[in-house]
Amino acid sequence: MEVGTTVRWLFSIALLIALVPESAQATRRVVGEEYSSIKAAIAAATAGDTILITAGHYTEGPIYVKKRLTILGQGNPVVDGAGQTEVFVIEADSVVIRKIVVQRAGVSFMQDNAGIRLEKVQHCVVDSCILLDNFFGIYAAESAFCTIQNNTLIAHSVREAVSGNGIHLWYCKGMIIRNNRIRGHRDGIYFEFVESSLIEHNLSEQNLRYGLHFMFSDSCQYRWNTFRRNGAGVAVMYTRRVLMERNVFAYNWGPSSYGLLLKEISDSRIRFNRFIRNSEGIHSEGSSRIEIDSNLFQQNGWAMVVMANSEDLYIHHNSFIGNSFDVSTNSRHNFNRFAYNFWDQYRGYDLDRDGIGDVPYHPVRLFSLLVQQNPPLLILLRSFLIDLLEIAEQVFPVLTPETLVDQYPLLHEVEF
Amino acid sequence: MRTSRLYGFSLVILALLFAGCGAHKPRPLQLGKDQCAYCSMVVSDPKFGAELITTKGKIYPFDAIECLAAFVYTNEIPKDQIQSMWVVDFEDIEKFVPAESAFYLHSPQIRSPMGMSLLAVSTEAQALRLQKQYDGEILQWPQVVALVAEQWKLEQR
Repeated sequence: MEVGTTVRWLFSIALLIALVPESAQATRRVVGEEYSSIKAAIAAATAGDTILITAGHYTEGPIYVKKRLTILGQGNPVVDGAGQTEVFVIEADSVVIRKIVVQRAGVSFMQDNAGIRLEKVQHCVVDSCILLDNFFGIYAAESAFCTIQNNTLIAHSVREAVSGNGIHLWYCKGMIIRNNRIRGHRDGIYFEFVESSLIEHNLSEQNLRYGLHFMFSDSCQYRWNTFRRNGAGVAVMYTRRVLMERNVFAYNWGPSSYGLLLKEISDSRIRFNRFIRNSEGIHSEGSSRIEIDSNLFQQNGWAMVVMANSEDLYIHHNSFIGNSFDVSTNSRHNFNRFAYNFWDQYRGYDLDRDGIGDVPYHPVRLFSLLVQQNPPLLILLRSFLIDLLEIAEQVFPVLTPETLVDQYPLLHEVEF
Repeated sequence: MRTSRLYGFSLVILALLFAGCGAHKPRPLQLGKDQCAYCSMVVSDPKFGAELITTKGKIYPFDAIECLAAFVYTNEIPKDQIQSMWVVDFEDIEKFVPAESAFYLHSPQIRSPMGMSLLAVSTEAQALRLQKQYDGEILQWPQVVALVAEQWKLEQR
């Protein structure tokens, strides 16, 4: 009986779909042939239509899309804001915009002008577009369930004040940011008040400030991304429940530059990432309840700096290889746990051959503490005096945190 | 010849030393380099910036007015060591205004770096004009501190 009803329902729905008249079907409107401007084509269109923009250069001020349209480029049409205005402003749900070159949205002192702006919409898609020298690239405000994928965003400004973010989300949820390449913006990807969103397979490089920047967000994840050569690395701040996995954080050098800066983060997990050649791999301030496992820290200045206001960090099964300093902190107090990590500077032995060193490893060196308090001291790195002090400190620890210790140091690198 | 060069050199050094001592005025924020003393964010948008100068002349930069307010409220450094506090005029980013005499506009339409929707200007006329554009309310410094403390649930140390 139950099944019969369902089948009957499905039949009637199928019948309804079949009976929808031809006239209600989408019309294709070609800009460059029927219409001379994009605005004219949009004005003539009804919801469901496709606007096909053929190759050409269209300098049209802000183009407002207030109907459910598919805007499709053919042969790389260029839509130009001429350094004055915004380019596309999407204000209808389910708009799709594909394969268009959007350039030169104007720098504005008061407004966050963008190449493509999504304003209070749902289920929109921005796909395979090229955004060149826009103030902000793609800007989504108070939107949900949109996908931003396969885009290339490049900006060339050298001053931060005249540079906006590549992909900027403000009060959004359920968004997907996938497979984009972002270069030369202020922050590559910026999340403020964003919930339940996913960032994956993106390359964010050479941005003036952060490759990725979270503020006041919740329940997001980012994975399989590469963040390299950004002014200050990646910053995850004032955010809860973030899953960060299988990313590469590389080549972030400078005095206030980090592979990953954690500020007031809680209930998060960081795993299977690679931190390579950063001033500091992970810098943690005021963060709590974070599991950091199975990461590779290679050739960083400091692999990890864990400030004493961080607590309940569980750091295990990571590999620390070729870092100048493994771990540093700013206090003798430690409220975090280190265990089962591989430390290439470990000099212990394993008599029972269970793969775990028989002597605990103290990853915080005296000198790294001193440098934390007084950076210019770094000039004494590898000096004889410092080596003597290190040995003395190892025998009688006075300054280094006694509880910051790996009781079970692994003898072999962790494979993942 | 050699001694005169030496004198010249020491003069330069002395001048530099004194320049360091007398610096009780705010300096322009270095975008992309200065890190906010409260939230650790690298300063990138000068219009919302602020600075605090200690009695010893050390300058703490801030990316947002709300960070300066929180820094002061939570006594990150003792009150008696604060020489002066400055906020950037939203309409003239070269200009620093003493925090206590500036006028603040608080409106959800203002997207300041730390999400507290605050901007500062030097005169009441500016504030009133911006209020016409953005709505919101005009605040004085003590109200700004109270607002940030309440919104961020700060505790005094």
